[in-house]
Amino acid sequence: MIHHNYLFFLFISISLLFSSCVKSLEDKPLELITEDYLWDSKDSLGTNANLFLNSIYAKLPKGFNRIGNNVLDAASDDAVPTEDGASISSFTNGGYSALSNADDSWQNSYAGIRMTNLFLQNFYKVHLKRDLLLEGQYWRAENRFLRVMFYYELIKRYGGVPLLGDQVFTLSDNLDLPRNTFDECVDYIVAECDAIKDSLRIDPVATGDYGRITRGVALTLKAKVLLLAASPLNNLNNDIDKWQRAKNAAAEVIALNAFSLEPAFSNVFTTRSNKEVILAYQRALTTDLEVNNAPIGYVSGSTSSLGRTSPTQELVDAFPTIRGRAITEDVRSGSNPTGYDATNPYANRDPRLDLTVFYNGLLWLGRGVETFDGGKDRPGGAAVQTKTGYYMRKFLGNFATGTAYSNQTHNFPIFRYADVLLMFAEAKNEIDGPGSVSDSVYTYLKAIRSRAGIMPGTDNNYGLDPNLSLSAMREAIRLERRVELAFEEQRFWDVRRWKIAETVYNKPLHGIRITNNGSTLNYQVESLNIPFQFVAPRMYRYAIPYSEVIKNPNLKQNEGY
Amino acid sequence: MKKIIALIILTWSLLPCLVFAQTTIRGIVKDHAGALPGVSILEKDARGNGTTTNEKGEFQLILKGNSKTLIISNVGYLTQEMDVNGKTKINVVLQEDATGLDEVVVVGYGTTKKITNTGAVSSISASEIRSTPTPNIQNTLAGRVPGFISQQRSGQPGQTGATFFIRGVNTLNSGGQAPLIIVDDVEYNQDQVAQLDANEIETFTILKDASTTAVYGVKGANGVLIITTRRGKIGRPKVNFSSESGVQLPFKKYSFLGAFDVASLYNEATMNDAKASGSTYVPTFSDDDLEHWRNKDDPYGHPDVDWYNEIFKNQAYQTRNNIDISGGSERVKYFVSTGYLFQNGMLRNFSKGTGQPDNNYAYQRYNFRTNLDFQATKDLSLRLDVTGRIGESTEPHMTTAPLSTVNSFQRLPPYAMPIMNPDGSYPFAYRSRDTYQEPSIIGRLALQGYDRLYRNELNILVGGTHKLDFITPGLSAKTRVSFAGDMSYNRSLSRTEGHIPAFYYNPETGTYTQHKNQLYRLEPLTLTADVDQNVSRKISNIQANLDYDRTFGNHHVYGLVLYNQNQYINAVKNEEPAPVNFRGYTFRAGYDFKQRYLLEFDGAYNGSTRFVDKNQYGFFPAVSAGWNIAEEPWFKKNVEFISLLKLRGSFGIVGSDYVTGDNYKFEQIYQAGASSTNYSFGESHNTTTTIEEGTLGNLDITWEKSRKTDIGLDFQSLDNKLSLTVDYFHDVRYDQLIARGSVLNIIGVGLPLINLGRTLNKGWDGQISYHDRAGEFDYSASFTFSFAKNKILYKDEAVQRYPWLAETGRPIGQATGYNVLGFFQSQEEVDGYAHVANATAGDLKYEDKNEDGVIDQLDMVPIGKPNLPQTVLGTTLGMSYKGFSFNILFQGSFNYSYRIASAGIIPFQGNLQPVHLNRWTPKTATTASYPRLSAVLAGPSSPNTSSNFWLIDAKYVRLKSVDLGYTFPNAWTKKLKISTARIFVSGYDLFTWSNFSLYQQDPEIASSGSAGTYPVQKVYNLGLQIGF
Repeated sequence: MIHHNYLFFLFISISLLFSSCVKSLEDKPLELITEDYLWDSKDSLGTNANLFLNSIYAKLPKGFNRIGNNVLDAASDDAVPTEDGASISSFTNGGYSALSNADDSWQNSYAGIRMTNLFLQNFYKVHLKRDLLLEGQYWRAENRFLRVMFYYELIKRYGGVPLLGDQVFTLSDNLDLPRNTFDECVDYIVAECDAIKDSLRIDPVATGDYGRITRGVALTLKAKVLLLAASPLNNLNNDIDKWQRAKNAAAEVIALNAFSLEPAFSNVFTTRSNKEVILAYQRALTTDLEVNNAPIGYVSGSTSSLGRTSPTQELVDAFPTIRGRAITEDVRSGSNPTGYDATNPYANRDPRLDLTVFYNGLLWLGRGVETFDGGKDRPGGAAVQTKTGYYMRKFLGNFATGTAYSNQTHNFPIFRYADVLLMFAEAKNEIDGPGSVSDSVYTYLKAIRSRAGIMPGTDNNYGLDPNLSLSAMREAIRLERRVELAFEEQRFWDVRRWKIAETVYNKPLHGIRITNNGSTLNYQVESLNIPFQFVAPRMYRYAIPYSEVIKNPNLKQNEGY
Repeated sequence: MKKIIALIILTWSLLPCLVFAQTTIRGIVKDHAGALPGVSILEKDARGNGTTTNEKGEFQLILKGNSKTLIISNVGYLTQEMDVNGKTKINVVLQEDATGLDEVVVVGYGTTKKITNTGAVSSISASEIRSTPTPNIQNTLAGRVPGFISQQRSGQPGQTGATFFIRGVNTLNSGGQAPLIIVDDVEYNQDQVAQLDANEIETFTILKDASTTAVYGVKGANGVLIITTRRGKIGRPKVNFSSESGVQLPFKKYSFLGAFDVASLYNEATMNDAKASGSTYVPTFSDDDLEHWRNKDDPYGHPDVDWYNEIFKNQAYQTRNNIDISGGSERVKYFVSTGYLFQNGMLRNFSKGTGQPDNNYAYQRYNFRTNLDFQATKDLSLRLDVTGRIGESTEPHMTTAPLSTVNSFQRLPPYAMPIMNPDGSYPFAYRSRDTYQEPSIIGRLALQGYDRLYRNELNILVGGTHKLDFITPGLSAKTRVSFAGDMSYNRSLSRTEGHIPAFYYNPETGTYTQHKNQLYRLEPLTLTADVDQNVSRKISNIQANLDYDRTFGNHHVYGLVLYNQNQYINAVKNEEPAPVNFRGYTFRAGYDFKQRYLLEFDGAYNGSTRFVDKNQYGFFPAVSAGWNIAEEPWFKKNVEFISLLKLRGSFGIVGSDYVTGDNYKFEQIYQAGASSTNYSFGESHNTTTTIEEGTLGNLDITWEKSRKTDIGLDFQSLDNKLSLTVDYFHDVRYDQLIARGSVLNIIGVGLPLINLGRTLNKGWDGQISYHDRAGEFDYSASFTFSFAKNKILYKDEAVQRYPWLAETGRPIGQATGYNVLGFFQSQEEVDGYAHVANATAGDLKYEDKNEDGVIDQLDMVPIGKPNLPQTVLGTTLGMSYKGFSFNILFQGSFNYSYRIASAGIIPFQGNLQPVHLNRWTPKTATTASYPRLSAVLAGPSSPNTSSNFWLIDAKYVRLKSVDLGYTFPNAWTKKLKISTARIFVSGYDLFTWSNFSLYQQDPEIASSGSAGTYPVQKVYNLGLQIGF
């Protein structure tokens, strides 16, 4: 019957529809990485777990022009941002609050902490082959280090924070944790550093392991944390025991005998392999620092330099003369031809000045820097240009000659040995006083000055007065830190931990105004008129983000916010 | 594809034929104008025995039953029953049905009659809008179709399609607010709708309530737009040709201040800033400079150029041409159409005569469509639709769009450079800020080449309808298989930004200084493709359904069971991800008694691979009922002048399977890291990959659901001259997939989406229309209204410190900002008020809402309204007299807000506009309408800081379209051997009335939209249409 044919048609067509086509595509995306893949027990080389570890390393502090293209120290008395309205300005015009903070590391640090905990919790699932077992032990210890490094980033900013231990939170956990005290956090970090120091690689590491967390790195962190805890901000009663612990920790790093000062100061920042850097953020070779920071009149290829950072006269004046004396004291005269000359202010200075600041006349890409009024690097008009007459030179490659930048090693020094020596000197000075010129406080300062290229002088004291008082030595160490560690994200935290921010900030900063009178240059120090406010005691700590505080009634906000 | 072809061959090979010899009736059907093709002729009580008239109105039917009665029916005519006992030849004259109650209404997967429809449906015939000169059909629906809310964001050729919503928006997922669009049973997106040519379209219908959208189940929550295309009708071949051309003009010409004003105001601004920050004021421009600009006596040293007028033309050309052929016999019906559209951009042609390509904006599109219907046997009909579009849009290759550049003070102040150097070389922006010392914009437009986006679409649909009257009368089966492919790719013939020779001419010394790019000659153009622009979308869809529709005396029952399977693949950047699969079962069961009492159940059981197995399927039921009061005998007897009075209501649940980021959000995926975050070990840098934990998964995610309630009234009176439809709706959208806002960041990982959000959307929409005729003068008026207001009922958020910070309770997408109390009138007032950095007299005074002496985010209150209009009104007026016809649409949008940011308004980030002359100065303190000027971009009164000073509580009324046409009398056209000829003039967006003077931009711009948005264009158009 015909009708049966009809039914047949229906049957065929419907069955065709329901059987569906041959699959041209898979039902689920198979290219995505899932947890099983990451902690695959058969991954005997630990390849995937290692890739995960890489991503934790990538969360280490990156430094350089990281805050709206500005360096953090543009919010200290060492520099100001070149551009108006830069987000970094909020640090110095009273603008950081619970609602906005350009250096908020709360979320990033806790994300890092979670990742380390995730690694520690799951890594056992990966069965490494026998000859990689030691490597596995390193990775585990590196993770534990990275975890406390993130806590260090937190307590530096916020004071005590909630300690999470080994927990990896899920949505069903109670997250309403109270804050641990600052001291509890310090104890935790120190205990972890002590616990892992023997499980880490020993310095110096093989070239293939540059950038890895080593024993020296863990000990340096311990020293940094203990010094932070001993500093006036966190050591209200000046408990000498805290200084003692800090000193011992720094001594431990020195006692490793694995690090030393690089012979040339310039080498520290542009060489991947050097004896001084303990931990640096390992980056690809770039020209980004040159482009961001070199004076605005320079063009590399067709790329204009942006001159983001304007160092202050205060920083420049902090650099002593070539003889290691303050510029106010070591003034040039007939009998003192190498002293400071206000009409030629950059001659005969601490050689580190040339490697830290671009000043008028410094050679760069084959021409002298022109920061006199109307010069190529300070043309006037609407162009964004230096506010102070200086640009930041530190970290940049050696491009005094040539016409274009080439890719450079730009690894941000997170820890370096000069810092360790100065930390030791600082702690020891607080405990024992400066001692004699052959005592370690003096020796370390002298070592740093010597490396810097300051002349030893007839007394071989590199311009340091013998018999300094404790407080005078304290000032000398602080000055040395400022000069040696400029733009390395030290000054910003140092003025806070020394509790001197309220005096450092609340006064006008200065720049230089250079006018070109035909053949001679006239140097005039001028006030910058840039508001620099620091509200004490509130601003010694960042505010815990507002969004976090409103979610957790147990999270007590810092005072004043 | 193979399967589809196999299916076609199979169906054709199974075409059986059978003839019984019985009494044969021949006849001819006419109306008052002449023969009627396509009229349905059915034998009463002989199930399934029927035919249709041919192109001459003739039919032939063999009687099988005993009733000897024929039922003759046609849409738009009153149905007739005719006793043919003893006759062999009949003449039938059908009467037109004035009520329109039998008018067919398109609904999901079928049609219904206007009188028995119980859902909220609005529709419009495409013929009403065919002559509106816009390339995108959706641009003219707002104000014509109640419940349709749209905004046209751009006037750039190829991107003029308006974004539209049905009854506003009702979900916190901004990507999940778009309505479902079904074109001839195939799912489209808004972009694709914009490519359709109005000439191919028959009707637009929007489905708004639960009962009509429930059949689409998980995809119906945002409403559904159904577009049907034209199909062939029985009759001789008709050829229709239309051609139209028009000019586009900017809705408003931008005006900028000249160099003298700009330079003087810049000095004033820097002086203000120096005063505010306490530093010394050094004028940027000397008196000498200003004097040159005032006198315009130094065109090279002190240029003063009106860049807007130098770069943009006053008008641009557009044209649209269509030809279509339609017709058919009992066996085959066809509609074949093709169209071409070209729309030019408003840039001047700077490359003319240089041998370089023309880099102006442009859009062109070819459309074609073939819709075929075959009556294979008496019971089996097949259809084959093939349609495609080839589009090509071009724009100049510039990193920053020309209009953005012209608006930008930093890039192109009026004194940046002369138009050309005296030696004919291109200048560069010598006087701009260092980073923006770009070579001449004219040079870049002439020489930098273009980016072109090609877009090809092809859709194929094969279907069959089989009447199964031999099983039971009224039953039929349908299948449809469709494939839609949409591919776009980019071609760029260009030079690197700024890589053209440029020189600064110093008129004092007569010297030329080279631009820092160090180019003396032109580099060759480079041919590249931008992979990011590559998109390939494929949708394959299979549907099969059983339909039942039968009347037993006074009882009418109908039903539908449907299976639907859809596979969607969206590949971008040459990467094709796994498909999104969808499968659904739909049913509909309805009943009416004498068309008086109506009841319908609808439902869908749908599954989507966006969810895990246990949550994959959802059931979405709806019920609706109606009461045709005017059909009651007692009413008919007493209230004769009312022909339709219907109360209807519906309630149901529909869903949305939208998930941000598309697919597999339930799983936690680990991400391979970006190379920029690499930290590498070892002495030399090796790029290593990283793996990071991705957002947490949530295995429980499932449908977003909408509980929709709709109550409606349909009314017709005064001999059907007056009609009214009004609907009230109340939709609660719940289980919305949102990220939790109350979880602490110490969790350290991205949060999964979770079904938590709840919002409410309610409002009214409807239409009142009146039409009448006085002699040969026909006239009509129609008024449509749409009101929709939404509110966030629940959104997981932390308990804020102040109640005004909570988003719960606010409309979706409402802006927040400071409440402005006025201008600070003196420095004392500033000093005595809450601290705002660098504030001084003439700055905006923000309300310190929490009275803590600090102006910060905690003082930000909800301001204005969302960007999407809450009220859309439209009025259509139409009249015709003899050959003349005139139609006009006014459309207005009300109750919405927007603000412009960046170069669109900020002085010295953007170029200065006349509004800046009204700035606050001590002299104009009482009359100022703009804060004191500041050259600091983030200054205390910056328009980038959200406040109600910058937010416009906007409304506008537009003369959206006008159409005046004349159809030549038949007597004339007959001589030319053509059947119809019509000429028309039409216009689009001709006039706009709006309530703001702060901004120069179009009122439909997106809030915070940039100054570079290509403005919407008005169009004057002239067209001719000829039918053979």
